[in-house]
Amino acid sequence: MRPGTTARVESFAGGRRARMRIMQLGINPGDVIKVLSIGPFGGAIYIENVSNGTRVAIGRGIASKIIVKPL
Amino acid sequence: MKSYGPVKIALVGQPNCGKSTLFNALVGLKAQTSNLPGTTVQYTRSRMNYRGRIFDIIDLPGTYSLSSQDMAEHETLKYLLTEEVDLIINVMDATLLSRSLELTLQLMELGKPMIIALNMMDEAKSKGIYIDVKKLQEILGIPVIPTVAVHGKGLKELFEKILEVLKTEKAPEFYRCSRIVEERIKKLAHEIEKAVGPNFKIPPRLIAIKLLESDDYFVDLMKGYPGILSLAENMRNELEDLMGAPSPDVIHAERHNLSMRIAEKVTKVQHRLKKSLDDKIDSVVMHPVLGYGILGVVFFLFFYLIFKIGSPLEEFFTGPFDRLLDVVHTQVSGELLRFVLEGLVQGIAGGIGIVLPYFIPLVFLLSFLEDLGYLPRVAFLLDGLMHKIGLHGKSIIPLILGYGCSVPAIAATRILDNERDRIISALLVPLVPCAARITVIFALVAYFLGPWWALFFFVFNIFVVALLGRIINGFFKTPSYGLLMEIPSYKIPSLKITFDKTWLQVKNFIYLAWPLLIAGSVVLGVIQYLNIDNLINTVFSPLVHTVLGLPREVGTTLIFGILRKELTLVMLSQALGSEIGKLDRVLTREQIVVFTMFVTFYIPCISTIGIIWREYGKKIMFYSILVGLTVATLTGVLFRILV
Repeated sequence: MRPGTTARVESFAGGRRARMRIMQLGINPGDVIKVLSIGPFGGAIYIENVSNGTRVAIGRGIASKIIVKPL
Repeated sequence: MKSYGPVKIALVGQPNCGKSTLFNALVGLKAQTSNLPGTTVQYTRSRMNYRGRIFDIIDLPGTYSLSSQDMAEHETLKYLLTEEVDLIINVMDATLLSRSLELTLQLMELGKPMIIALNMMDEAKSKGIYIDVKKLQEILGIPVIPTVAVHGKGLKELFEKILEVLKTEKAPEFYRCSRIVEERIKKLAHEIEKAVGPNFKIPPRLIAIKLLESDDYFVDLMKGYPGILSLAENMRNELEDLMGAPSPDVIHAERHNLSMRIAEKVTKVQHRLKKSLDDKIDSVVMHPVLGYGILGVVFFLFFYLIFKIGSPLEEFFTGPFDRLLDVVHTQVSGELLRFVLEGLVQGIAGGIGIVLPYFIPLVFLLSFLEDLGYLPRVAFLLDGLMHKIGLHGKSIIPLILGYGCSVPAIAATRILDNERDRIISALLVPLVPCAARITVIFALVAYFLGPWWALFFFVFNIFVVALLGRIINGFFKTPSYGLLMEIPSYKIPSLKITFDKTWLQVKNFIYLAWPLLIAGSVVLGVIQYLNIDNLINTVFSPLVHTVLGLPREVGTTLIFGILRKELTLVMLSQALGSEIGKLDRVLTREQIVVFTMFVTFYIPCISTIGIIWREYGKKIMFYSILVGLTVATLTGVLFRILV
């Protein structure tokens, strides 16, 4: 996904820990997220959950486990 | 209402919702606050008196949910379950109502009287979010008090409500889940109640829910009841089959959906002025290219401002003390008295003339950056680079805090999610120059060799820290877990709070460190009089003189420097028999560089050693000292050859 694009969160792959953490931070299946910026050197991705206003930086590894459907 | 003893009130809320700010507003400045999630890693307690009642107010670490995933959350959970709390104040961030409610719903299960402090109401308003407080109160059945902790708004109402709630001691009712889930919770809770008996302190319903979430803490709590655990496991499997998702996710979804429905009912969102401003700032600050430019400018300005403010003050204050020292040196006849007086003057001069001019602007600027909300953004920008040294972006936060003081920076490593990240960060933090060592760098390197040299020092330091991170990382086999961090919205720091925070630290310096500086200085005077310093210097001469090429007299100052790093500077002039402003007459440029480099890296100060021991044990503490000495010697020799 490129900066400025939006998508709907479908589900999370990966372990229970990471999954719970993402959900507790306020990103849940069904939410619409927007990519605000992508960190250089393989760095984190800065996203906003448009549904509730939460903003989160997510490392590439964890981000790759969030399954989304581009809008 | 309890008729004797203090009333125990716990502040609980999600990270960065303003708990510590509210705590400080309630009890006067005691806790560290900042605009980054997870500043409070251990709880702070303060006793206060309101209308003749004694309250013990406890500021607990922020937690997204009532679970035991990281150290801060574990601390909060354990406190709430094992200490007899009389009342919970649930601090909520009004701008993130729906997510905050997920914690609220869990707190309601604790069966304790509860009040909600709906904080950051001003923020919410400027984001165009309007919350119907009365309706929220009705739905939850818990009193809700709107507050703006930064400006002290709503505190009186909060206190009045506390007194009122304590009178009735009414605990909130718990929420209900959808039928399939609710049936199982009820049944499991019933079995738990039968097993543990009616006098068990933790509500069975809470245990039931947490077992269905497979929370480690509660599984451990129930390990004496294998029947309960296997029943819970069966139910988890049933739920997974029926709902098509793992049981913990199902329970989470119940709370999440309920929270969303409640938030929708009580919130009206209109124009979004503030948000678009945040967006505009972030489009530059968080930009993959421009962001680095800004970061460079901030880094440069940070040190440049400290130097620009500090160096004229240093000059201004040291002048009179140098003259006073001249007078003592020529006029006082008794030798012992002269040594003692010289030590005394050097110690006092060191505090006023050298430390405070740099210390105050440094603490002020760091606290400003923290409150602004910039540090989490640095974590985002540097995430990619931090991976190259085996860490992720979040680890940058303890390292940045290290520019202030290593002790809270080591404590802040607790915000990291796993052990390896914490240990690597804890080993790196003492290598970042703290306020004391920055003072030494400014007062020696910048003052005598020029500000660009000092800037080079800071850049070189980052290079060394990165290199070392890479090396230490080689010893660990597991890779880093990755960054997952909330980015708070920008807040214009309240000048009053920034001044208060600065003052708190300056006060600590004046009361705790300065007397030590003066005493150390006087002791050195006596040691010199008794000629013991010769002995110490001879012992350390192989390292100090032969390897590093420094005057032998420096040996004693390095020993004292382990107490407080500022002592190296104050005692340096005393040991060499020179005034601080004229050190360049007794030390060459090369020696100034080597000395400062060595002081920056060598053994952590005694307080830092102490906290590493407490947090990580003797082994890591030993490694930390070893790493420091090795790096200090290597860089010292390197610069001896290069300069």
